[in-house]
Amino acid sequence: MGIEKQGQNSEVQKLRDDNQQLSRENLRLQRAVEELGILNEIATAINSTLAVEKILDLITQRCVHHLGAEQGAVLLLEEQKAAKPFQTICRVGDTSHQRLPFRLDDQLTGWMLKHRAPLLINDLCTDQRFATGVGDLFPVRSLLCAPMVCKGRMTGLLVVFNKKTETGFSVDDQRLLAIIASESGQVIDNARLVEKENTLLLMQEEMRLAQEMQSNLLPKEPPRLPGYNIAGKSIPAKEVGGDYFDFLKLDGRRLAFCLGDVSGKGLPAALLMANLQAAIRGQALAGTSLTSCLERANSLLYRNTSPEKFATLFFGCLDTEGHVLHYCNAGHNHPFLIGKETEPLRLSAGGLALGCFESFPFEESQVQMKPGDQLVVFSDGISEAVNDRDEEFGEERVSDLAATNQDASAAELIEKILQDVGRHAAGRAQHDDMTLVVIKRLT
Amino acid sequence: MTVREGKIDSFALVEVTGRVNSENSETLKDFLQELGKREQQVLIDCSALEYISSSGLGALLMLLKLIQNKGGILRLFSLSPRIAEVFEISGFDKFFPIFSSLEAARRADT
Repeated sequence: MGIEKQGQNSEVQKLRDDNQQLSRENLRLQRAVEELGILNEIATAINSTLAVEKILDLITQRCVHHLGAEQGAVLLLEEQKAAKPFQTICRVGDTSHQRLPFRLDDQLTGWMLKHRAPLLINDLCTDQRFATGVGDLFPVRSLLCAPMVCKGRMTGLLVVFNKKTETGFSVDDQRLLAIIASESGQVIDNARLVEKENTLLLMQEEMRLAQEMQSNLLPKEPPRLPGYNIAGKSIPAKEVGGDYFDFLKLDGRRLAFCLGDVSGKGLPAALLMANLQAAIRGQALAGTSLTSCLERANSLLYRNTSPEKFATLFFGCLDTEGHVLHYCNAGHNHPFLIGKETEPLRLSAGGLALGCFESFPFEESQVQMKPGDQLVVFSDGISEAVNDRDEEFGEERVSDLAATNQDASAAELIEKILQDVGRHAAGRAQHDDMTLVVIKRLT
Repeated sequence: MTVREGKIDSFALVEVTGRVNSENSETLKDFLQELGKREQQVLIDCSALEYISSSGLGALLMLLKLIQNKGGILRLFSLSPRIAEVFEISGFDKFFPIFSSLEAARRADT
Protein backbone atom coordinates (compact mmCIF):
# COMPACT_ATOMS: atom_id res chain seq x y z
CA MET A 1 0.00 0.00 0.00
CA GLY A 2 2.74 2.33 1.15
CA ILE A 3 4.85 1.32 -1.79
CA GLU A 4 1.93 1.74 -4.14
CA LYS A 5 1.29 5.24 -2.82
CA GLN A 6 4.91 6.00 -3.09
CA GLY A 7 4.79 4.75 -6.64
CA GLN A 8 1.78 6.90 -7.34
CA ASN A 9 3.53 9.89 -5.78
CA SER A 10 6.57 9.49 -7.98
CA GLU A 11 4.29 9.05 -10.96
CA VAL A 12 2.52 12.29 -10.06
CA GLN A 13 5.83 13.98 -9.51
CA LYS A 14 7.06 12.82 -12.90
CA LEU A 15 3.87 13.99 -14.52
CA ARG A 16 4.26 17.30 -12.78
CA ASP A 17 7.86 17.54 -13.93
CA ASP A 18 6.90 16.61 -17.46
CA ASN A 19 4.15 19.15 -17.31
CA GLN A 20 6.49 21.85 -16.12
CA GLN A 21 8.99 20.94 -18.75
CA LEU A 22 6.26 21.04 -21.34
CA SER A 23 5.15 24.42 -20.05
CA ARG A 24 8.72 25.67 -20.25
CA GLU A 25 9.14 24.23 -23.68
CA ASN A 26 5.83 25.71 -24.64
CA LEU A 27 6.90 29.09 -23.31
CA ARG A 28 10.19 28.80 -25.10
CA LEU A 29 8.46 27.91 -28.35
CA GLN A 30 5.96 30.69 -27.78
CA ARG A 31 8.87 33.13 -27.29
CA ALA A 32 10.60 31.78 -30.35
CA VAL A 33 7.41 32.25 -32.35
CA GLU A 34 7.11 35.76 -30.95
CA GLU A 35 10.73 36.51 -31.78
CA LEU A 36 10.31 35.15 -35.27
CA GLY A 37 7.17 37.23 -35.56
CA ILE A 38 9.08 40.36 -34.55
CA LEU A 39 11.95 39.58 -36.91
CA ASN A 40 9.51 38.86 -39.69
CA GLU A 41 7.63 42.07 -38.96
CA ILE A 42 10.86 44.07 -39.12
CA ALA A 43 11.99 42.30 -42.29
CA THR A 44 8.64 42.93 -44.00
CA ALA A 45 8.62 46.57 -42.95
CA ILE A 46 12.22 47.09 -44.08
CA ASN A 47 11.48 45.58 -47.47
CA SER A 48 8.81 48.17 -48.05
CA THR A 49 11.22 51.10 -47.94
CA LEU A 50 14.76 52.03 -48.90
CA ALA A 51 15.05 55.27 -46.97
CA VAL A 52 17.69 54.95 -44.24
CA GLU A 53 15.82 57.23 -41.83
CA LYS A 54 12.63 55.18 -42.18
CA ILE A 55 14.40 51.85 -41.73
CA LEU A 56 16.20 53.09 -38.62
CA ASP A 57 12.99 54.50 -37.20
CA LEU A 58 11.20 51.24 -37.83
CA ILE A 59 13.85 49.06 -36.22
CA THR A 60 14.09 51.30 -33.18
CA GLN A 61 10.32 51.49 -32.78
CA ARG A 62 9.87 47.73 -32.91
CA CYS A 63 12.70 47.14 -30.45
CA VAL A 64 11.34 49.67 -27.95
CA HIS A 65 7.89 48.10 -28.22
CA HIS A 66 8.80 44.41 -28.06
CA LEU A 67 11.47 44.70 -25.43
CA GLY A 68 9.30 46.87 -23.21
CA ALA A 69 11.82 49.70 -23.07
CA GLU A 70 11.18 53.37 -22.53
CA GLN A 71 13.48 54.49 -25.33
CA GLY A 72 15.70 53.28 -28.07
CA ALA A 73 18.26 54.67 -30.49
CA VAL A 74 20.42 53.74 -33.44
CA LEU A 75 23.93 55.14 -33.63
CA LEU A 76 25.78 54.84 -36.91
CA LEU A 77 29.54 54.66 -37.06
CA GLU A 78 31.15 57.39 -39.13
CA GLU A 79 34.55 56.01 -40.02
CA GLN A 80 36.09 59.34 -41.00
CA LYS A 81 35.39 60.91 -37.65
CA ALA A 82 37.92 59.46 -35.24
CA ALA A 83 37.12 61.88 -32.41
CA LYS A 84 33.36 61.32 -32.38
CA PRO A 85 32.92 58.12 -34.32
CA PHE A 86 29.24 57.60 -33.57
CA GLN A 87 26.43 59.71 -34.83
CA THR A 88 22.97 59.29 -33.34
CA ILE A 89 20.78 58.94 -36.35
CA CYS A 90 17.49 57.92 -34.86
CA ARG A 91 15.80 58.16 -31.50
CA VAL A 92 12.44 56.78 -30.51
CA GLY A 93 10.74 57.19 -27.16
CA ASP A 94 7.87 55.40 -25.50
CA THR A 95 7.80 57.46 -22.37
CA SER A 96 6.48 60.61 -20.75
CA HIS A 97 10.02 61.97 -20.55
CA GLN A 98 10.27 65.01 -22.73
CA ARG A 99 13.95 64.68 -23.42
CA LEU A 100 15.53 61.87 -25.35
CA PRO A 101 19.17 60.93 -24.90
CA PHE A 102 20.86 62.29 -27.99
CA ARG A 103 24.26 60.90 -27.48
CA LEU A 104 25.79 58.09 -25.54
CA ASP A 105 28.65 58.59 -23.20
CA ASP A 106 32.08 58.07 -24.79
CA GLN A 107 32.82 55.37 -22.22
CA LEU A 108 29.98 53.26 -23.47
CA THR A 109 30.64 53.74 -27.18
CA GLY A 110 34.30 53.09 -26.46
CA TRP A 111 33.44 49.85 -24.67
CA MET A 112 31.29 48.74 -27.60
CA LEU A 113 33.99 49.59 -30.15
CA LYS A 114 36.48 47.55 -28.16
CA HIS A 115 34.36 44.50 -27.28
CA ARG A 116 31.93 44.38 -30.22
CA ALA A 117 29.55 42.34 -28.09
CA PRO A 118 26.09 42.90 -26.65
CA LEU A 119 26.03 44.79 -23.36
CA LEU A 120 23.32 44.30 -20.72
CA ILE A 121 23.19 46.56 -17.66
CA ASN A 122 20.23 46.56 -15.30
CA ASP A 123 21.69 48.73 -12.56
CA LEU A 124 23.71 51.42 -14.18
CA CYS A 125 24.37 53.48 -11.01
CA THR A 126 26.39 50.66 -9.47
CA ASP A 127 28.21 49.59 -12.65
CA GLN A 128 31.86 50.40 -12.17
CA ARG A 129 32.62 50.45 -15.90
CA PHE A 130 30.41 53.42 -16.57
CA ALA A 131 30.82 55.46 -13.41
CA THR A 132 30.09 58.82 -14.97
CA GLY A 133 26.64 57.84 -16.19
CA VAL A 134 25.65 57.06 -19.71
CA GLY A 135 22.69 59.19 -20.67
CA ASP A 136 22.78 62.81 -21.53
CA LEU A 137 20.05 64.86 -19.79
CA PHE A 138 18.03 61.69 -19.34
CA PRO A 139 18.02 59.32 -16.35
CA VAL A 140 19.17 55.92 -17.53
CA ARG A 141 18.62 53.03 -15.12
CA SER A 142 19.08 50.07 -17.37
CA LEU A 143 20.24 49.58 -20.91
CA LEU A 144 20.75 46.93 -23.53
CA CYS A 145 23.08 47.54 -26.42
CA ALA A 146 24.11 45.41 -29.41
CA PRO A 147 26.57 46.04 -32.24
CA MET A 148 25.39 46.21 -35.83
CA VAL A 149 27.80 44.42 -38.12
CA CYS A 150 28.13 44.25 -41.87
CA LYS A 151 30.72 42.09 -43.65
CA GLY A 152 32.69 41.74 -40.44
CA ARG A 153 32.78 45.50 -39.95
CA MET A 154 30.99 47.25 -37.11
CA THR A 155 28.65 49.80 -38.62
CA GLY A 156 26.69 51.02 -35.62
CA LEU A 157 24.90 50.36 -32.37
CA LEU A 158 21.32 49.49 -31.53
CA VAL A 159 20.45 50.43 -27.97
CA VAL A 160 17.33 50.43 -25.77
CA PHE A 161 17.04 52.13 -22.39
CA ASN A 162 15.04 51.56 -19.18
CA LYS A 163 13.07 48.32 -19.16
CA LYS A 164 9.57 49.20 -18.02
CA THR A 165 9.22 46.14 -15.71
CA GLU A 166 11.08 45.78 -12.40
CA THR A 167 12.90 42.66 -13.59
CA GLY A 168 15.10 44.60 -16.01
CA PHE A 169 16.32 43.36 -19.38
CA SER A 170 16.66 39.58 -19.62
CA VAL A 171 19.15 37.36 -21.39
CA ASP A 172 16.38 36.57 -23.88
CA ASP A 173 15.98 40.30 -24.56
CA GLN A 174 19.71 40.51 -25.16
CA ARG A 175 19.62 37.60 -27.58
CA LEU A 176 16.72 39.11 -29.51
CA LEU A 177 18.32 42.56 -29.73
CA ALA A 178 21.60 40.99 -30.86
CA ILE A 179 19.81 39.11 -33.65
CA ILE A 180 17.94 42.22 -34.78
CA ALA A 181 21.15 44.32 -34.68
CA SER A 182 23.19 41.83 -36.65
CA GLU A 183 20.43 41.43 -39.27
CA SER A 184 20.03 45.21 -39.52
CA GLY A 185 23.69 45.89 -40.27
CA GLN A 186 23.56 44.71 -43.88
CA VAL A 187 20.16 46.28 -44.55
CA ILE A 188 21.24 49.69 -43.26
CA ASP A 189 24.50 49.52 -45.14
CA ASN A 190 22.65 48.81 -48.39
CA ALA A 191 20.23 51.65 -47.76
CA ARG A 192 23.10 54.04 -47.01
CA LEU A 193 24.79 53.06 -50.28
CA VAL A 194 21.58 53.66 -52.20
CA GLU A 195 21.23 57.09 -50.56
CA LYS A 196 24.85 57.97 -51.37
CA GLU A 197 24.28 57.00 -54.97
CA ASN A 198 21.12 59.09 -55.11
CA THR A 199 22.98 62.10 -53.70
CA LEU A 200 25.66 61.65 -56.34
CA LEU A 201 23.06 61.42 -59.08
CA LEU A 202 21.42 64.57 -57.76
CA MET A 203 24.75 66.39 -57.77
CA GLN A 204 25.41 65.28 -61.32
CA GLU A 205 21.99 66.52 -62.34
CA GLU A 206 22.61 69.88 -60.65
CA MET A 207 25.95 70.14 -62.44
CA ARG A 208 24.23 69.41 -65.73
CA LEU A 209 21.70 72.17 -65.00
CA ALA A 210 24.54 74.57 -64.11
CA GLN A 211 26.22 73.68 -67.39
CA GLU A 212 23.01 74.31 -69.29
CA MET A 213 22.50 77.63 -67.50
CA GLN A 214 26.04 78.72 -68.25
CA SER A 215 25.82 77.83 -71.90
CA ASN A 216 22.59 79.84 -72.00
CA LEU A 217 24.54 82.86 -70.74
CA LEU A 218 26.78 82.72 -73.81
CA PRO A 219 25.55 84.18 -77.10
CA LYS A 220 23.77 81.51 -79.13
CA GLU A 221 24.30 83.20 -82.47
CA PRO A 222 27.07 85.60 -83.44
CA PRO A 223 25.83 89.10 -84.29
CA ARG A 224 25.41 89.97 -87.97
CA LEU A 225 26.82 93.31 -88.99
CA PRO A 226 27.26 94.52 -92.54
CA GLY A 227 30.85 94.11 -93.77
CA TYR A 228 31.89 91.95 -90.84
CA ASN A 229 32.05 88.28 -90.03
CA ILE A 230 32.00 87.45 -86.32
CA ALA A 231 32.16 84.27 -84.20
CA GLY A 232 32.83 83.16 -80.63
CA LYS A 233 33.22 79.84 -78.83
CA SER A 234 34.00 78.67 -75.30
CA ILE A 235 34.89 75.16 -74.15
CA PRO A 236 35.11 74.74 -70.37
CA ALA A 237 37.73 72.31 -68.97
CA LYS A 238 35.18 70.98 -66.48
CA GLU A 239 31.38 70.92 -66.77
CA VAL A 240 31.31 74.65 -66.14
CA GLY A 241 34.08 77.20 -66.38
CA GLY A 242 35.34 80.67 -65.64
CA ASP A 243 35.78 81.87 -69.23
CA TYR A 244 33.11 83.76 -71.08
CA PHE A 245 32.52 85.91 -74.11
CA ASP A 246 29.68 88.21 -74.97
CA PHE A 247 28.34 90.32 -77.84
CA LEU A 248 26.10 93.31 -77.21
CA LYS A 249 24.61 95.33 -80.03
CA LEU A 250 24.46 98.86 -78.64
CA ASP A 251 22.70 100.31 -81.67
CA GLY A 252 22.54 99.76 -85.42
CA ARG A 253 26.25 100.35 -85.93
CA ARG A 254 28.05 99.72 -82.66
CA LEU A 255 28.88 96.33 -81.20
CA ALA A 256 30.28 95.91 -77.70
CA PHE A 257 32.01 92.59 -77.09
CA CYS A 258 34.22 91.03 -74.47
CA LEU A 259 36.18 87.93 -73.55
CA GLY A 260 36.87 87.31 -69.87
CA ASP A 261 38.71 84.75 -67.77
CA VAL A 262 37.99 84.37 -64.07
CA SER A 263 40.89 82.87 -62.08
CA GLY A 264 40.37 79.23 -61.13
CA LYS A 265 37.83 76.96 -62.77
CA GLY A 266 34.75 74.88 -62.10
CA LEU A 267 31.70 76.03 -60.19
CA PRO A 268 33.31 78.84 -58.10
CA ALA A 269 34.77 80.41 -61.24
CA ALA A 270 31.48 79.96 -63.08
CA LEU A 271 29.54 81.81 -60.39
CA LEU A 272 31.99 84.69 -60.43
CA MET A 273 31.89 84.71 -64.21
CA ALA A 274 28.09 85.07 -64.22
CA ASN A 275 28.44 87.93 -61.75
CA LEU A 276 31.03 89.70 -63.90
CA GLN A 277 28.99 89.22 -67.05
CA ALA A 278 25.90 90.74 -65.40
CA ALA A 279 27.94 93.74 -64.22
CA ILE A 280 29.46 94.35 -67.66
CA ARG A 281 26.17 93.87 -69.51
CA GLY A 282 24.28 96.24 -67.24
CA GLN A 283 26.91 98.94 -67.56
CA ALA A 284 27.49 98.57 -71.30
CA LEU A 285 23.80 98.69 -72.19
CA ALA A 286 23.39 101.78 -70.00
CA GLY A 287 25.86 103.52 -72.28
CA THR A 288 28.72 103.78 -69.79
CA SER A 289 32.19 104.32 -71.31
CA LEU A 290 34.54 101.35 -71.59
CA THR A 291 36.85 102.59 -68.86
CA SER A 292 34.07 103.48 -66.37
CA CYS A 293 32.52 100.12 -67.10
CA LEU A 294 35.71 98.31 -66.13
CA GLU A 295 36.38 100.57 -63.14
CA ARG A 296 32.97 99.70 -61.73
CA ALA A 297 33.30 96.00 -62.52
CA ASN A 298 36.72 96.10 -60.84
CA SER A 299 35.48 97.56 -57.60
CA LEU A 300 32.46 95.24 -57.62
CA LEU A 301 34.68 92.20 -58.06
CA TYR A 302 37.16 93.48 -55.47
CA ARG A 303 34.44 93.91 -52.83
CA ASN A 304 32.60 90.64 -53.51
CA THR A 305 35.36 88.09 -53.80
CA SER A 306 38.09 86.50 -51.71
CA PRO A 307 41.56 88.13 -52.01
CA GLU A 308 43.00 85.57 -54.45
CA LYS A 309 40.20 85.89 -57.01
CA PHE A 310 40.49 88.13 -60.03
CA ALA A 311 39.43 88.22 -63.65
CA THR A 312 41.12 89.30 -66.83
CA LEU A 313 38.90 90.85 -69.47
CA PHE A 314 39.27 92.24 -72.95
CA PHE A 315 36.48 94.68 -73.60
CA GLY A 316 35.95 96.23 -77.03
CA CYS A 317 33.48 98.37 -78.85
CA LEU A 318 33.45 98.28 -82.64
CA ASP A 319 32.00 101.12 -84.68
CA THR A 320 31.14 99.43 -87.94
CA GLU A 321 30.68 102.68 -89.85
CA GLY A 322 33.96 104.40 -89.04
CA HIS A 323 35.61 100.95 -88.60
CA VAL A 324 37.18 102.04 -85.35
CA LEU A 325 37.74 99.56 -82.58
CA HIS A 326 37.80 101.12 -79.11
CA TYR A 327 39.13 98.78 -76.48
CA CYS A 328 40.28 98.45 -72.92
CA ASN A 329 42.31 95.43 -71.85
CA ALA A 330 42.09 94.53 -68.15
CA GLY A 331 45.10 92.25 -67.77
CA HIS A 332 44.02 89.82 -70.48
CA ASN A 333 46.30 88.08 -72.99
CA HIS A 334 46.90 90.68 -75.67
CA PRO A 335 44.63 89.95 -78.64
CA PHE A 336 46.04 89.98 -82.17
CA LEU A 337 44.94 92.36 -84.90
CA ILE A 338 46.20 90.70 -88.04
CA GLY A 339 46.27 92.66 -91.28
CA LYS A 340 46.81 91.36 -94.81
CA GLU A 341 50.13 93.04 -95.27
CA THR A 342 51.03 94.42 -91.88
CA GLU A 343 52.71 92.87 -88.86
CA PRO A 344 50.25 91.60 -86.23
CA LEU A 345 49.35 94.27 -83.71
CA ARG A 346 48.90 93.40 -80.00
CA LEU A 347 46.08 95.16 -78.16
CA SER A 348 47.52 95.72 -74.70
CA ALA A 349 46.30 99.12 -73.48
CA GLY A 350 43.93 99.11 -70.53
CA GLY A 351 44.97 98.25 -67.03
CA LEU A 352 45.17 95.69 -64.32
CA ALA A 353 43.17 92.47 -64.05
CA LEU A 354 39.80 93.10 -62.36
CA GLY A 355 39.29 92.51 -58.64
CA CYS A 356 42.92 92.88 -57.50
CA PHE A 357 42.73 96.32 -55.93
CA GLU A 358 39.77 98.46 -55.01
CA SER A 359 40.29 101.35 -57.35
CA PHE A 360 42.49 101.40 -60.37
CA PRO A 361 42.36 103.74 -63.38
CA PHE A 362 41.87 102.13 -66.79
CA GLU A 363 42.84 103.65 -70.11
CA GLU A 364 41.09 103.23 -73.42
CA SER A 365 42.77 102.93 -76.77
CA GLN A 366 41.61 102.60 -80.35
CA VAL A 367 42.69 101.05 -83.63
CA GLN A 368 41.41 101.20 -87.15
CA MET A 369 40.10 98.00 -88.72
CA LYS A 370 40.98 97.85 -92.41
CA PRO A 371 39.39 95.52 -94.98
CA GLY A 372 40.73 92.00 -94.43
CA ASP A 373 41.82 92.70 -90.85
CA GLN A 374 41.17 89.96 -88.33
CA LEU A 375 40.85 90.47 -84.59
CA VAL A 376 41.61 87.31 -82.61
CA VAL A 377 40.83 87.39 -78.88
CA PHE A 378 41.70 84.25 -76.94
CA SER A 379 41.97 82.99 -73.36
CA ASP A 380 45.13 81.46 -71.85
CA GLY A 381 43.57 78.00 -72.07
CA ILE A 382 44.44 78.22 -75.79
CA SER A 383 47.98 79.61 -75.63
CA GLU A 384 48.97 77.64 -72.53
CA ALA A 385 47.63 74.25 -73.58
CA VAL A 386 50.57 71.89 -73.03
CA ASN A 387 51.70 68.70 -74.71
CA ASP A 388 53.37 65.64 -73.16
CA ARG A 389 56.64 67.53 -72.77
CA ASP A 390 54.94 70.46 -71.01
CA GLU A 391 55.48 72.64 -74.07
CA GLU A 392 52.86 75.35 -74.46
CA PHE A 393 50.88 75.87 -77.65
CA GLY A 394 52.01 79.49 -77.59
CA GLU A 395 50.50 82.77 -78.72
CA GLU A 396 52.46 82.92 -81.97
CA ARG A 397 50.73 79.84 -83.33
CA VAL A 398 47.37 81.57 -82.80
CA SER A 399 48.61 84.51 -84.83
CA ASP A 400 50.20 82.26 -87.49
CA LEU A 401 46.99 80.30 -87.96
CA ALA A 402 45.04 83.51 -88.45
CA ALA A 403 47.62 84.79 -90.96
CA THR A 404 47.60 81.57 -93.00
CA ASN A 405 43.82 81.22 -92.98
CA GLN A 406 42.80 84.66 -94.17
CA ASP A 407 40.07 83.28 -96.39
CA ALA A 408 38.44 81.20 -93.68
CA SER A 409 35.32 82.54 -91.99
CA ALA A 410 35.55 83.62 -88.34
CA ALA A 411 33.85 80.40 -87.22
CA GLU A 412 36.16 78.29 -89.43
CA LEU A 413 39.25 79.99 -88.01
CA ILE A 414 38.08 79.25 -84.48
CA GLU A 415 37.62 75.57 -85.37
CA LYS A 416 41.07 75.45 -87.01
CA ILE A 417 42.72 76.92 -83.91
CA LEU A 418 40.84 74.54 -81.60
CA GLN A 419 41.79 71.55 -83.77
CA ASP A 420 45.43 72.59 -83.76
CA VAL A 421 45.40 73.03 -79.98
CA GLY A 422 43.76 69.61 -79.74
CA ARG A 423 46.52 68.04 -81.86
CA HIS A 424 49.21 69.80 -79.83
CA ALA A 425 47.81 68.65 -76.48
CA ALA A 426 46.87 65.19 -77.75
CA GLY A 427 46.67 62.70 -74.94
CA ARG A 428 46.51 65.31 -72.20
CA ALA A 429 43.37 66.40 -70.44
CA GLN A 430 42.22 69.94 -71.17
CA HIS A 431 43.61 71.82 -68.18
CA ASP A 432 41.91 75.18 -68.61
CA ASP A 433 38.84 76.69 -70.22
CA MET A 434 39.40 77.63 -73.88
CA THR A 435 37.66 80.60 -75.42
CA LEU A 436 38.00 82.47 -78.70
CA VAL A 437 36.34 85.46 -80.34
CA VAL A 438 37.17 86.33 -83.94
CA ILE A 439 36.03 89.47 -85.75
CA LYS A 440 36.91 89.84 -89.44
CA ARG A 441 36.34 92.93 -91.52
CA LEU A 442 35.31 91.76 -94.97
CA THR A 443 35.01 94.89 -97.05
CA MET B 1 55.67 72.25 -58.28
CA THR B 2 57.78 72.37 -55.15
CA VAL B 3 57.88 75.02 -52.45
CA ARG B 4 60.84 75.42 -50.10
CA GLU B 5 61.24 77.88 -47.28
CA GLY B 6 64.44 79.24 -45.80
CA LYS B 7 65.71 82.33 -44.07
CA ILE B 8 68.00 85.15 -45.13
CA ASP B 9 68.63 88.24 -42.97
CA SER B 10 65.22 89.15 -41.60
CA PHE B 11 63.45 87.74 -44.65
CA ALA B 12 61.61 84.49 -45.10
CA LEU B 13 63.01 83.14 -48.38
CA VAL B 14 60.58 81.05 -50.41
CA GLU B 15 61.50 79.18 -53.57
CA VAL B 16 58.68 78.08 -55.86
CA THR B 17 59.79 75.77 -58.66
CA GLY B 18 58.22 73.95 -61.61
CA ARG B 19 54.72 74.48 -62.88
CA VAL B 20 51.99 76.07 -60.79
CA ASN B 21 48.70 75.11 -62.42
CA SER B 22 45.08 74.97 -61.36
CA GLU B 23 45.62 71.45 -60.00
CA ASN B 24 48.31 72.39 -57.45
CA SER B 25 47.65 76.10 -56.90
CA GLU B 26 45.47 75.33 -53.89
CA THR B 27 48.50 73.78 -52.15
CA LEU B 28 50.52 76.92 -52.90
CA LYS B 29 47.68 79.10 -51.66
CA ASP B 30 47.44 77.21 -48.35
CA PHE B 31 51.20 77.48 -47.87
CA LEU B 32 51.34 81.19 -48.68
CA GLN B 33 48.33 81.93 -46.52
CA GLU B 34 50.01 80.37 -43.50
CA LEU B 35 53.28 82.13 -44.38
CA GLY B 36 51.56 85.51 -44.84
CA LYS B 37 50.02 85.25 -41.40
CA ARG B 38 53.27 84.62 -39.55
CA GLU B 39 55.88 86.50 -41.61
CA GLN B 40 56.46 90.21 -42.03
CA GLN B 41 59.13 90.19 -44.76
CA VAL B 42 59.11 87.70 -47.61
CA LEU B 43 61.33 87.18 -50.67
CA ILE B 44 60.17 84.80 -53.39
CA ASP B 45 62.71 83.11 -55.66
CA CYS B 46 61.10 82.57 -59.08
CA SER B 47 64.27 81.46 -60.92
CA ALA B 48 63.04 77.88 -61.33
CA LEU B 49 59.39 78.75 -61.78
CA GLU B 50 58.42 77.44 -65.22
CA TYR B 51 54.74 78.28 -65.42
CA ILE B 52 52.13 80.00 -63.29
CA SER B 53 48.39 79.83 -63.97
CA SER B 54 45.87 82.51 -63.09
CA SER B 55 44.98 80.64 -59.90
CA GLY B 56 48.71 80.64 -59.01
CA LEU B 57 48.87 84.39 -59.55
CA GLY B 58 45.79 84.61 -57.32
CA ALA B 59 47.70 82.84 -54.52
CA LEU B 60 50.54 85.39 -54.82
CA LEU B 61 48.02 88.22 -54.87
CA MET B 62 46.50 86.94 -51.64
CA LEU B 63 49.97 86.82 -50.03
CA LEU B 64 50.70 90.36 -51.20
CA LYS B 65 47.49 91.62 -49.59
CA LEU B 66 48.19 89.78 -46.32
CA ILE B 67 51.71 91.26 -46.15
CA GLN B 68 50.76 94.77 -47.25
CA ASN B 69 47.88 94.93 -44.77
CA LYS B 70 50.39 94.72 -41.93
CA GLY B 71 52.92 97.01 -43.57
CA GLY B 72 55.32 94.21 -44.43
CA ILE B 73 57.52 93.54 -47.45
CA LEU B 74 57.01 91.10 -50.31
CA ARG B 75 59.50 90.97 -53.19
CA LEU B 76 59.84 88.62 -56.12
CA PHE B 77 63.12 88.03 -57.88
CA SER B 78 64.76 86.21 -60.82
CA LEU B 79 61.65 85.83 -62.98
CA SER B 80 62.25 84.03 -66.27
CA PRO B 81 61.20 85.99 -69.38
CA ARG B 82 58.10 83.76 -69.69
CA ILE B 83 56.98 84.42 -66.12
CA ALA B 84 57.82 88.13 -66.41
CA GLU B 85 55.53 88.23 -69.44
CA VAL B 86 52.68 86.66 -67.48
CA PHE B 87 53.11 89.34 -64.80
CA GLU B 88 53.22 92.05 -67.41
CA ILE B 89 50.10 90.91 -69.29
CA SER B 90 47.97 90.66 -66.16
CA GLY B 91 49.31 94.00 -64.92
CA PHE B 92 50.66 92.28 -61.79
CA ASP B 93 54.11 93.79 -62.49
CA LYS B 94 52.61 97.17 -61.59
CA PHE B 95 52.09 96.31 -57.93
CA PHE B 96 54.42 93.37 -57.24
CA PRO B 97 57.95 94.63 -56.49
CA ILE B 98 60.07 92.58 -58.90
CA PHE B 99 63.89 92.36 -58.77
CA SER B 100 66.50 90.87 -61.04
CA SER B 101 68.35 88.88 -58.36
CA LEU B 102 68.30 87.83 -54.72
CA GLU B 103 70.99 90.41 -53.99
CA ALA B 104 68.93 93.21 -55.56
CA ALA B 105 65.85 92.15 -53.64
CA ARG B 106 67.74 91.98 -50.33
CA ARG B 107 69.39 95.34 -50.73
CA ALA B 108 66.41 97.19 -52.21
CA ASP B 109 65.99 99.53 -49.26
CA THR B 110 69.61 100.08 -48.31
